[in-house]
Amino acid sequence: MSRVIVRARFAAILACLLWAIASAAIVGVTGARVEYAQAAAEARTVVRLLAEAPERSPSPIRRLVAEGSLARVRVELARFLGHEVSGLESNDRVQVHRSWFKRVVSVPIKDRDAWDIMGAVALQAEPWGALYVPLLAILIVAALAAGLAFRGIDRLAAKPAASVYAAMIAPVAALSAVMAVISVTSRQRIDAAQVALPPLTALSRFDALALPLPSAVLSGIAMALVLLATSAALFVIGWAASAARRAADRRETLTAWAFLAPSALHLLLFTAGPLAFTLFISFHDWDLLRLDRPFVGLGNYLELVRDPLFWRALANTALYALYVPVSMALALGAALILNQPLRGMRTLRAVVFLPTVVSYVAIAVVWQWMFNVDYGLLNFLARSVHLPGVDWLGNPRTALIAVMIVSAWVQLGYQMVVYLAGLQGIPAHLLEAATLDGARRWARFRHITLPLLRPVTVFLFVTGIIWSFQVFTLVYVMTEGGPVHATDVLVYRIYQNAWEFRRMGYASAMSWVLFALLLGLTLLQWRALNRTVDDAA
Amino acid sequence: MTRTVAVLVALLVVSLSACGDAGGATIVLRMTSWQSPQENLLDQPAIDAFVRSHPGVRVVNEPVSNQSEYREKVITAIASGSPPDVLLLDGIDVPSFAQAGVLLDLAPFAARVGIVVHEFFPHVLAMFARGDTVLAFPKGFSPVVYYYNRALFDAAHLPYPDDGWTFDDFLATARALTLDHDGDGVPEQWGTAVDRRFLAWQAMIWSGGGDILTPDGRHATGALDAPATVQALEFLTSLATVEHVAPLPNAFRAVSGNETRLFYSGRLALLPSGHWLLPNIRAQLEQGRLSLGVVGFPHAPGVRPATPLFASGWSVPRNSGHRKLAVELAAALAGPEAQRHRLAAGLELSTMPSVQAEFAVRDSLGLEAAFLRLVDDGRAPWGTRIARFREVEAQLPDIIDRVVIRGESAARAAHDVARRIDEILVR
Repeated sequence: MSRVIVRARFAAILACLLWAIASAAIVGVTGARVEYAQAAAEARTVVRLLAEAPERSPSPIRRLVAEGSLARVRVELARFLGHEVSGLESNDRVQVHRSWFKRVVSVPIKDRDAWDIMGAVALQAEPWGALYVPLLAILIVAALAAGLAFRGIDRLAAKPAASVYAAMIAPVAALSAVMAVISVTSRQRIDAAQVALPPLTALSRFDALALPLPSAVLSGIAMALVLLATSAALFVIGWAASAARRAADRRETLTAWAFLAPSALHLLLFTAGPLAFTLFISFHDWDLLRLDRPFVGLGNYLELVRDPLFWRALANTALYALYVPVSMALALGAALILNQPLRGMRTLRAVVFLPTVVSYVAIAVVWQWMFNVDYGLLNFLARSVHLPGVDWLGNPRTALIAVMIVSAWVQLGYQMVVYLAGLQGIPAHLLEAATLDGARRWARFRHITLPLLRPVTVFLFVTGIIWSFQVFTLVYVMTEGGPVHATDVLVYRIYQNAWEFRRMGYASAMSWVLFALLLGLTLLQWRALNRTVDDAA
Repeated sequence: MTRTVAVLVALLVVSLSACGDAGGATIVLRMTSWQSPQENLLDQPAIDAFVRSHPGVRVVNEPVSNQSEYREKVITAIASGSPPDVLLLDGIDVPSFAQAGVLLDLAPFAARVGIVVHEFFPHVLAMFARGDTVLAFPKGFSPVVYYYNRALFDAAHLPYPDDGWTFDDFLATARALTLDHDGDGVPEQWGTAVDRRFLAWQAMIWSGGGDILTPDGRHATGALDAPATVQALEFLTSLATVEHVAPLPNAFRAVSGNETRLFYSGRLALLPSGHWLLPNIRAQLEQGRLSLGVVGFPHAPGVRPATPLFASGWSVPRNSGHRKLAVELAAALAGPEAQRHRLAAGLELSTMPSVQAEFAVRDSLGLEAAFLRLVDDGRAPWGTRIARFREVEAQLPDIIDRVVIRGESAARAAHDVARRIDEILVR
C-alpha cells in the first residue's frame, strides 16, 4: 500500500474520531442539561411539599440524596460525593455538584419570605443514563464512516478519472444520516422535558431556582457545523488521495490546508455559526429580555419593505459610498507625489498614513469641533476670506457630505499606501521604453501606470465599497443619524433597532439584507472589474 | 518528549482542580451602573460600610459610562444567565424589565433591609412600582426646569421669573434678554434655547395642555397632533424660527452642549435642563462667579404646569445568585446615608422628602428649595409606562427638526410622526 493511502486512511480515521468526540460532546451537554433541569424541577416539588406540610417528610423520589437543614445536607452530600461542598448557604441558584462518577443537583430551601436559605434538597442526577444508545450509535457510525472513507480512498487512488465527490459521498451520507437522527431525538427529548416541566414563563425562567433547558436550535446549529467541518475534511482527504494528483501539488495543497485549518475552524465557529443564528433570529420577533419570541416568518422582511426609514438609510448608505472613488483618486494623486525619491518622503508618507491608525471615535470628536458652526476651524477659515459659515453637521444638505469628507480623510492614508505598493511594482523598463518612444508624462501615466494599477484599483474599490456600507462609528459619534435622518445609514439603523429598541429580529433581517446587498455588489464589481483587468492584461 | 508529558500532567492537574468546588470563602457581589467615575466615588462610602458589616463579602463595581452601552451589557448579562447582583435601573427601562419579569420584587424585603417605602416621594416610588411590587429602590431624581442667569436679568433690570408664569410672560422675558448690540442680525446674547431632545420639551407640551400620547398610552394620533400640543410645539419652535430669541437648535443630539456653553459663558439667559447640570458648575456657583436661579416651565393660560421627573433606582435581577446580599446592597446604596452623601455633590434630588428638605435648608445657593417646590408639578414621564417608549422617543425630535430645518408646519410634522408612533405602539 502506498504511503499516500496510509496517510489518507489515518487522516480519515482522525476526522471520523473528531466527529465522534464533537458529536458526543454536543449530545452529552444537551442530555446533561435536560437531566439537570428535570432533577431541579423534581427537587423544587420536594421543596414545595416541605413548605406545605413541613411536619411529614415528603421524599417521594427515589433518587433523593439529602433534604433538610443546611448542616445535614452538607454532611450527606459530602458522604455521597466523597468531598465537601460549599456555597450552599449563600447561593440562591440551583447548583450541580460533581464527583468523578456522580452528579447531584441541589435546590435551596428558603424561609417563608424567601429571604434566608434554611436548607436544601439534593437529588442525584444521571445524565449518562439516557445517553448510552446515542453514544454507541455515534461510535458505530464513526467506524462505519471511516470504513466507507477507506473504500473511497482506494477508489480514488486507483482511478485517475474518479470523482472525489462520488467516492466520498458514502461516508458523508452516513454521518449526515446519524446526525439527523440524533438532532431529531434530542429535539424530542427537550420538547418532552418542556412538557413535563412547569411551563417556561418569564417568572420561572428568571426565578433564581430555575435551571433552563438547553436550546434545541443551538445544539442543532452546533451539530450542523461539526458535520460541515468533517465533510469538508473528508473531501480534502479524498482529493489528496486521488491518483490524478501530483505529489508536489498534493503536498502544497495539504500544507496550505493545514495552515488554513485553525482560522477556517475559527471562522466556522465564530462567524458562520452566529451568521446562521442571525438568519434564524430574523424570522422571529426576538426581544433579548423576553421569553416569547414568536416566529413571524418573513414578517420582518416585509416590514423592511414598508419602512420609509430603512429606504432612507439605504439611499444614504449608497450616497455615502460615493466617497470611495473620490478618496481613491486623491490617494492615487498622493501616492504619485509621495513616490518621488526625495528627502523626507518617508516621514510625509507616515503623516498621511497616520489617520488610518487613529481611533474612529477620536477622529469623529475632533472633526465635530472642526465642523462646528460657531467656533469650528472650517468656518473660521471660511469667514476669514469673507465666505458665509456653513452649519456642516446641522444642515441636512451638508451633513452626509461632512461625514464623507472625514471618511475620505481617514481612508486616504491606507489607500495611498496600497497604491504606493502598486506603483513600486510597475517595472521601470516599461516606463523607460515609453519615454524612449517619446511618450510624455501624461501618456505614460494613462497608458502604462493606470492599466498596471488596475488590480490594486479593483481591490481598493471592492473593499472600500464594503467598508463604506458598514459605516457606523462616525455617524454614531458625529450626527446620530441626523439631522432629519440625513445621515441615517444602514448599520446605524441596525444598531438602533437591536440595542436601543431591542428588536433583534428586525435588526437581523436588516443585517441579512445588507449582507445580500454587499454580496451582490461585490460579485458585480468583481465581474465587471476583473473583465477590464483581463482586457488590460 | 519529557516536556510534552510534563505539560500534559500540568494540564491534567489544572483541569482536575477546576472540577472541584470553588472553596473560597469570599462571596463576590457585582454591581453596575452608567455612572461616571466621579459619581461612583460618591457611592463608595455606602459600599465600604456594607462590606464592613458583611465580612467575607466583596463588592465589585463594574460601571459602564455610556448609557446605551450599559443597557446592551445589562440586557445581555441577564439574558445569558450571568447578571450583575445589583444594577442601576433607569425609569425608562422599568416597563420592559417589568414586562419581561427579570427583576426581583423588593417590596417583601424592604422592611428587613431598613427601607421604609413610604419615606420615598410617592410619585417617584410609583415609577418603579407595579401594584404592590417594587422593582427598584429609587436613589435620585430630577424634574426638568428652566435655569436662569441672575446677572443677565439684573443687567436688563428685569425681575426674576416666578413659578406659574405664562407662555406670554416667557416670550416677553426672552425678547427682553435677547440682545444684538452690533445689529448684524446675530444676537450676542440669547433669551433662551430650544433643545430638540424630547426630555427637554416634554414639560412645554404638558404645560401647554397637550400630550404626546392619549391617556391610555395606546395612540399618538389624537394627542400629539391635537390643537393644544401643536400650539405648544409652534410656540417652542417659534422661539428659534420666528422670534429669534433662541439659537437654532442643534439638529442632532451628538453635539448638544452648545447651548450649555453659551449659558455658562453668560450669553444665554434661560436654559431648560435638570439637576444634573449643577455638579459641573458647582465650584463657580459657590465662588459667586455664576449666579443662577431655578424656575418652573411657563404654561398656557388655564393649564397647570407640569414637568417630567427623571429617576433611577437600584434593583436586583431575579436570577442574581445572592439575592439576600444583593437586596441588602441595593438598600445600602439607596438608603438615606448614601443619598445624603450624593446630595452634597449636587448631582440630583434625594428621593426621600425628609432628606431633600434637610438639604434644602442647608443649601446656601437657594436652588434646592426651588427644586423641591417644583417636585409638586412633577409627573412620571411616559417612558416609565410604555415598554416601547425608547422607539417612540427616538421619533419625536424629528418634529422639531422638520419645523426648524425644513420649515414644515408643526401640525403636519406632528401628525406624520404621530402616525409613525401609532404603528410602533400597535406592533
